[in-house]
Amino acid sequence: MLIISISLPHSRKVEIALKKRYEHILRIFQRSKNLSIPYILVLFLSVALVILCFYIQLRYNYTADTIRLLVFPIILFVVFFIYISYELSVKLHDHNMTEYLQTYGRGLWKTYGAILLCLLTLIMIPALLFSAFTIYLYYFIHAQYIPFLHHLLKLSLLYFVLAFFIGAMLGTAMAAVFKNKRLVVYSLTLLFLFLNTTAPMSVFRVPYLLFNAYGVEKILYDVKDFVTIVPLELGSSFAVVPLYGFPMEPHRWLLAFFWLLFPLTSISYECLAVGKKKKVILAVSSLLVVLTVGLFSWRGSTLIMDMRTTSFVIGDYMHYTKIGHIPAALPGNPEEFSITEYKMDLTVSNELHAAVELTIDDLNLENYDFTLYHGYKLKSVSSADGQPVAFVREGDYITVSPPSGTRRLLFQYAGRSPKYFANRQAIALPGYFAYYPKAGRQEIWSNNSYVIDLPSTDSEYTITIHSNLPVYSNLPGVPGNHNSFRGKSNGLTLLAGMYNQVADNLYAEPMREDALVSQNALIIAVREAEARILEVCERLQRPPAPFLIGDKKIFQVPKAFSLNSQTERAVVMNDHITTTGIYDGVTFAMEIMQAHFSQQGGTIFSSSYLFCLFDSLSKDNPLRTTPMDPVSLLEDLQEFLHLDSQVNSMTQEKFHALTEPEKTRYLKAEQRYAEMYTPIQQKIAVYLFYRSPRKEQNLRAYFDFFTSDSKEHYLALAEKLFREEIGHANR
Amino acid sequence: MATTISKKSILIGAVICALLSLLLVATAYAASVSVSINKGSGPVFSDTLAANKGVSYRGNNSFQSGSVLYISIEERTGAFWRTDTVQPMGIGQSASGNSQLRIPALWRVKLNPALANTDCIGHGQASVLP
Repeated sequence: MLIISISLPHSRKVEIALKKRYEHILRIFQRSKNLSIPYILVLFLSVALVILCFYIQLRYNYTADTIRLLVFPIILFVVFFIYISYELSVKLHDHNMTEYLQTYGRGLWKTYGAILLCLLTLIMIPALLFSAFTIYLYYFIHAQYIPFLHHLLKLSLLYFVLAFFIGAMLGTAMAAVFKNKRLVVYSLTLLFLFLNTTAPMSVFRVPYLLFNAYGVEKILYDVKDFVTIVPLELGSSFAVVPLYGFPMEPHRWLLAFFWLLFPLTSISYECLAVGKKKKVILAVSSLLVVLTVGLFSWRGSTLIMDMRTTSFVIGDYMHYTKIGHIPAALPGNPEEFSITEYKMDLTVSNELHAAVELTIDDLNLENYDFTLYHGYKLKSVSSADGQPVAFVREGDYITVSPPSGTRRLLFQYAGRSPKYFANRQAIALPGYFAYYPKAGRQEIWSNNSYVIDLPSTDSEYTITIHSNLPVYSNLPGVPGNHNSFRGKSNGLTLLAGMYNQVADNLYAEPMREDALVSQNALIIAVREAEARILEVCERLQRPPAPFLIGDKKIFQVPKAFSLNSQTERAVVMNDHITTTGIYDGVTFAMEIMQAHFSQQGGTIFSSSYLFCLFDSLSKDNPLRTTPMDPVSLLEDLQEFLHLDSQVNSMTQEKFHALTEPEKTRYLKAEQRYAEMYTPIQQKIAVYLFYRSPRKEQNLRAYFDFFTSDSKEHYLALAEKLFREEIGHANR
Repeated sequence: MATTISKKSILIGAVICALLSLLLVATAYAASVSVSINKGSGPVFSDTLAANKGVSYRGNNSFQSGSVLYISIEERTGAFWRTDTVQPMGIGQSASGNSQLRIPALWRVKLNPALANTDCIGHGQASVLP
């Protein structure tokens, strides 16, 4: 036996020794009641969570919610694995075994290796359970969309397997580094848990409150993001964007590997006795930190769905109203030239990198103004022959002063927008957004919404996109060239991610659950929309041409585009339409019509108008049958208009200059205005456009108003129509 | 000894249950819901509203407020409440609009002062689209 043992190769001997240690440690784990009983409880909880998720799936048939429910408590599992791995490993220190183990050939290192193997076994049971359930869901809902299956596989690996193993590694490393200083370990674990939820939001605003500094908040969020193991945080109320899926950008994987390797280097450092190897480990560890921090800071465009000042949700609001104070487009500064041609070479990696060559039609101007969203940092502007051209950038606006006769200009820039993302996971760049230079000075943000300002004429586009994703565009693809497009339009829309062409001219997110995505349902809805538009235009005796869908391509863009903007439900460009969701034909038709309306009409009034025009009032709406008297409605309207002028003319300075009784009077008026706001507008709309004997004339009058550039108050016309009706009745 | 419950108690219990159910149903099927915040800590939520084709909303942040107030419209079609729309309201400003989602869902209004402040006075309302 001894001879056989000696003749065994070294690796085999290590394997046997490791196996023995592994079995011993598993036995220790079983015998430790403070570890094995909670672990068994967690296993039961895992099974219960899966059962609950399955119930939720059966109850609501909403896969995104089911997976979200599965992912939400994952950070608690990670914390639990920190606990058991720490308590299992710290036994070495509790019983002063480390010194003894270090006395023979890498004994301590081998013991840690066996502990990690044992922990890997323990974490794999819930991790595999959750992963199996996630994959099962794909087949359960008959998804039949392979990119979604790939997404779920990656999700299982990152959110379950790697996240749990990170917990085990962190616990073991803390045992190696902090030994039995439990207070430190548990404080760090709680901090880790805190940073992995949405709870720090209010704490991170403290620097702003104290020093009026947003920069500190940004740094704090960077730290938080660096330790965020499960990107969909506990406490978030924002839905998963189906085009994007669960956040799994390259930097998330980088962080996952960092949080596996960094604890490993810490364990190695503690296992080794003093010497050169220890210095090497320290150097490797430092290099790892520097490299990861460096790459992490280069992460570029990411979808941030929370309330930080750089998020999708409030990033632009904060920029345009609080931080940036970007000058608005001046009315006396009209677009004086057009761009006839764009040649774009776009690279979508961590963010958008662009080289855009454009041709201008008027060569006799001294300066040319362009609009490019401020998040895209302009590196250079040059002429076609490569000569640098002087430019001045002021927020979203670039003023270029080329030598006389310059027809072509080359813009090179890179950057991102918090809302219109472009990275390796997905791309959502709608044609109405200035992610490439647009002629003239255009407003990007106004009245808490994005401004849709499209050029009236088409430009010729030649586009090449370098991306790992198949990109969908409104322009026809160049045959034989992947992600290359050429054609004419007044806006270039690019979409990629969990996205597909579902029918001719129809593009949507296959895994979207709130809107229509199936081929037949979408085709029927679009046909119905077209038919209803024709019908109402005939009713209005107005030409339908501007509203018809015809052969325009339709792109369903993320619903989240409307999260912080009231202008993006449907945007109609010359060759395509973007919509945040097709729910049914009539609603889509109404949204297309509303897209053509000027911004002067209040949203509530204009949407009530459309409900009446399309004869879509809800059957149980009491306004259909409640008796209405035009005279009392006119009185209410006059009261409302009086309150409206009072409320809208009030400023902070004026308010603070009021005496106390005046303030009380004003606040009462404001309260009355708030109470009246929605009911009065809905009542007036239903009366004028549904109940009135002159409803057809009223519908036409308001249609002309909504499609004009009139600056008149949208309810002043209602007052006029009421007077006409009352006067007519009295005659 | 077995404890018996009188018929009267059962009847009272049943009536209370029925009234509570009616109250819940009435809340869910109201035509509009509203919520106010008066220098308290947020977020505050309105009651629930059921709508088939979405809701319109309006909110205002009083001149007496000390900071920005966010009005959020939340919908529930699945297991969770999800934010459909968020609009910031500066001091003395208002916000209004329609929800994005146009399918049967439950709705509620959330008022959330920025920076976790407790100096906001405001009001939010959601009404069923006609």
